[in-house]
Amino acid sequence: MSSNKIVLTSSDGESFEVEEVVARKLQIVGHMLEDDCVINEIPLQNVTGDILSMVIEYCKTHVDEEESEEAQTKLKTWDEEFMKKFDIKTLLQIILAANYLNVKGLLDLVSQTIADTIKDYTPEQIREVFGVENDYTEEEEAEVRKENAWAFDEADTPKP
Amino acid sequence: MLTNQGWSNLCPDLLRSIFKGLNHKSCHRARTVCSNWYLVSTTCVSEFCIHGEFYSKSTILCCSIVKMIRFTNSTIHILTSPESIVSLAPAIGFSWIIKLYVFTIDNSIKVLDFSGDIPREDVESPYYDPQFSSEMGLMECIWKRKVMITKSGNVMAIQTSGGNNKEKFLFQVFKMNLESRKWKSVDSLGKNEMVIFGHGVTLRTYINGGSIFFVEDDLWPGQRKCGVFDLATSTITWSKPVGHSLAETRRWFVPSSFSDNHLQEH
Repeated sequence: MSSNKIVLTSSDGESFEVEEVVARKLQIVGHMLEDDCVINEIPLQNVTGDILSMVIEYCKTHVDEEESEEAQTKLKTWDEEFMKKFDIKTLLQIILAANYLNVKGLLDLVSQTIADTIKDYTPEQIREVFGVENDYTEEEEAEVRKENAWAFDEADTPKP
Repeated sequence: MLTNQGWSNLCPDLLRSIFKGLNHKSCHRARTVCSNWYLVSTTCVSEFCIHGEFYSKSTILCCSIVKMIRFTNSTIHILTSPESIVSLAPAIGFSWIIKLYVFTIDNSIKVLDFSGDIPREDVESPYYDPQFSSEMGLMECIWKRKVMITKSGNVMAIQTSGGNNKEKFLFQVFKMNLESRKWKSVDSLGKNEMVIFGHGVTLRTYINGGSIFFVEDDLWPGQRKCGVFDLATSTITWSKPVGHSLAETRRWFVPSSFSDNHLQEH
């Protein structure tokens, strides 16, 4: 693979020069390069510089995915540490960016990180942490809760 | 940037991708958060692939091999081999399914516990180990065996056999003595219980005890008639033939506004 450089520009005008192999981890870029292989500067309208730099950091680390168990374990540890750096707000921006830029590995990683966060929370805690507004009426919420009563601890909700 | 996207109105694909990472229980908790999450969660299908020797040799409800169990909104699909899907809707008699009792071809009942992250075998169940003994009759005379849970929570085994001369068709119901862990034949299903034997799902509902409703070859291979077996007297009331039934599959169904008179063939 040639070490051709590609410049990626964020919506707020920040530019990142990366190797083509790294840029190709962003499938949106990969498709553009296939369509017209002479491009060397790509504007990415839907992502800001601070988020794009995180995505690039992820892609650089994952550029040669080795099969060996040792390398996989090392990557996994890196992924965990990488995810710890972000708060919920940033994770939202990253999942949107990963979706837009089409970086499958990162999308899966962020999804799982968010799922792990949600896992042990009650609906009230999730609303608070994620800033989600409860749009149910009192009756609707009671209905939904009843339907899913078994998923709550026995102490909170008596079994029907 | 799509800055107006927050957690509550995140696009369905992304929400699904997150819900996919949740276990069955936490997914149901998460859907209580807001109406959009609820809506998206109803389109999620979480799949649990069941591996291992136990599963590959198990028979579900006595007829097929379990390949995969998956959950959707309100239904548990059990993909079996040969390809067919048994759906257990919690709406029929189960408010939810925490445990699934599976009849295995080595004549014991395995218990799958769904209350945790992944289904696991409940090895502490009294039904886990004991096999059906020869008291239950000679294997070659037995046609079908199923496991059922009565309304009162008892685990019963039910089998059809042709008897020694294969002329006297018989349903037999067994209940385990939990102390001796031996299966004993019983002549009642319990108060207000009945069984619809056919089509892989045993259903129980209100009717005077001891009636087993069966169709087609539930009773014996090639047997084409439907009927009701009375457990107390070991007699069969055959139903009248309906229409050109040779070409069609008939089944019992129970209208929701249930009374004896409403139990019908279709």
